[in-house]
Amino acid sequence: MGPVFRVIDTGVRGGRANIAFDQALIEAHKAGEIPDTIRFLTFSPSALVGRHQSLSREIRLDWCRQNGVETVRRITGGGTLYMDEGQFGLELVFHRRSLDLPTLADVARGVCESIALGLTKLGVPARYRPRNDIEVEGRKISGTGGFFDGDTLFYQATILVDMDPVRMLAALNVPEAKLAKRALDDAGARVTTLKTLLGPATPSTEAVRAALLEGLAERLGIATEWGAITAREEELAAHAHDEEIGTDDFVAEIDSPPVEAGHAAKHGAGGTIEAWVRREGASDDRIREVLITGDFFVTPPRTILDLEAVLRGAPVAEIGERIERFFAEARVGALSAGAGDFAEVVEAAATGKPLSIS
Amino acid sequence: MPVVRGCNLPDDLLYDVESHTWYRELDGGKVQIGMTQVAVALAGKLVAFTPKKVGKPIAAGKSCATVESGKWVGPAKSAVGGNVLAVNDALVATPTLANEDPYVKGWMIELEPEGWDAVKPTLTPGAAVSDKYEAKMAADGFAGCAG
Repeated sequence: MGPVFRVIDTGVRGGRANIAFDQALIEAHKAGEIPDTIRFLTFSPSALVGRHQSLSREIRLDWCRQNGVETVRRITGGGTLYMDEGQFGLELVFHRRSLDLPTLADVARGVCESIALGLTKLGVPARYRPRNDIEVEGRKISGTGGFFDGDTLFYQATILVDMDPVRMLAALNVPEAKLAKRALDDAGARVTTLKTLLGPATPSTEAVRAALLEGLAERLGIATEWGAITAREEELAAHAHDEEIGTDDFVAEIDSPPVEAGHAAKHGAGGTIEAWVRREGASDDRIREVLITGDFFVTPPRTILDLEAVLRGAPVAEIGERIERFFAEARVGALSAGAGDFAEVVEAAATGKPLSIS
Repeated sequence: MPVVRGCNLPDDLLYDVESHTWYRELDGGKVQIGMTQVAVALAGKLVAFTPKKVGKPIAAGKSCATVESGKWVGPAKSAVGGNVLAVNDALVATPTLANEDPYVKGWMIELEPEGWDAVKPTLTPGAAVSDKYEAKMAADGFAGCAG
């Protein structure tokens, strides 16, 4: 039998309290006070930025304030999330040598594949999409991120059981909101939920969690055993909350004014290609996200969602190269526009560079 | 210069092998701190570097910065406490400097250290770091610094 992971459920908590508990798990694990652990968690309405993201760029602070949505800074990397009782989180804290996953990339793959395996047990054809997502037919159903501190590794995932896209788009500064307003696209097209996929047959939360634990046990070769939250964990969480994670100073530690997404559109023989691009990084030199839409023809339709995923986090300077490589390697059935057309539009949206024809 | 599993470890520096950090003594009793090539090889291409702010005290053994790579975040820990005198703004702007040049352009912070005389003997001089780092890499299953 492989290593035994304790399983706990910390119930519904505020966003900052939940992240403070993450910190507590890491500290307690590092100190040898708790075993390797899997935690399930649920959020009261919260908008969460990644550890190094700019708060006002990512979150519509006024809307959140007026609508009772707590603003939160995670200790893990990655992008902004809106979470409420419709979704839940799954986290693992463990010793680097507990699992046969030597690198951080191996850990990300291993945990993501475990979650995908768990979801397939519910009849959902979920797959790992490098580097950090689990998707169904190109639509994200789970996102992940991690934290490492010495020999203690911490990896967390969100599981979208249900979602209110209107609230999500209202809380976050995302270009999808523009698509929704202009009715150009289904605002929820890039994500999906168990409720959307399974309808009335959606299993109970308990059943979803049981399937995920089975996936983790099978893929990672571990055993799981439900256990209790310790007083020490709550004590550490309260301290982390009051001293750092729960403070406005921490949440606003990185902050800069919101920036409109760059936009470009090209009308050609193969149809119109339209792109929105947001940049990020201290030098604004990486792609935060890209949305591509239009009336061009492509099969399979998920091709464009996969292209968007490939470009997330890419250096702006490498847009053309990444798009050319994507189309060279992707299994595209038919495409009415060329890779160069997509590269030109995305580059124009990212940099303001003029289009050859517009 | 010692090279362990393809990772350069300049011999004029001091090392905290467990935390993958290096220390350079500067004029006026200041200490410069950075991440070793092993640290950045483990992390991969860095996308963010957020140091503690200038003027803030940091405690010995605690984080003096956080770094991010591929959605993984980790603390960079300082073996010595003290006040932050300077941070590397170039590294904030271009975190990949740590990947390209971990020992010169990729430095993280400069400290006015507290109790340096007591901490310094706990660090490993570059001339003696090879065996210790080899043992750490073997225990962690670290393949080496690619390229």
